Amino acid sequence: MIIVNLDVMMAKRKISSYELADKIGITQANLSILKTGKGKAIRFSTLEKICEVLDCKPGDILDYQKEEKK
Amino acid sequence: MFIIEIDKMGKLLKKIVWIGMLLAIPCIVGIPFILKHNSNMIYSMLIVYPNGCMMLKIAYEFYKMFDSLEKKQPFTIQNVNLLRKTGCLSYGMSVLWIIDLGILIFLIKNTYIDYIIILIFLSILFFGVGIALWTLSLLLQQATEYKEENDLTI
Repeated sequence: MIIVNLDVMMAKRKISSYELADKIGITQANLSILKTGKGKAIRFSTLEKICEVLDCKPGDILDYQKEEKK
Repeated sequence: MFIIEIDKMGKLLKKIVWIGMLLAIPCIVGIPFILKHNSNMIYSMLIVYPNGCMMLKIAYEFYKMFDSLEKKQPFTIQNVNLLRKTGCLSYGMSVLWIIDLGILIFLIKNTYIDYIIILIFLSILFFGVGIALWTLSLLLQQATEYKEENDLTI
């Protein structure tokens, strides 16, 4: 499964949700969906803007973890 | 081009279904009094009664569905379940018409071909409606899933 490490990166860059949402151009509600991992997909354009604002690479925000079979 | 406003249409359909339900209730209640003098129809009445109740339930489910149209939120899992339920009720009605047909032929030994043809037609019709509603519920389910995916794409 894909893990979203956006809050870790935000903490590193000391940026608030309000500021990040404003700079990316999405609503805080959508940013919250992204942060909590409830989102189903992310557009390349959004990812690009996040990377631009947080000065990082997509790999710093998104991570892959193998799901354990129950 | 004439564009139908979905909320206004929802309101109108709700009113139509509501009037239909109000008219149907006295009809169902009045069936025993209407058929009092026709002893051949007593068995059939046992089938007509649950069928009437099922029809009312279907109308009520549609009434709830038009409520979501009014709120401009038709793509919900509740509507999928409502359509599925109405589809099942329609299958049930079809089965009841077949039972009525059986009663008419084997118990009452009715030879009126008109009745038999009408009952065959009704059972096929409601089976078809059931299939249509079931298919629509699957389509709505797919559409709801797509919408949810689209809403959750950031």
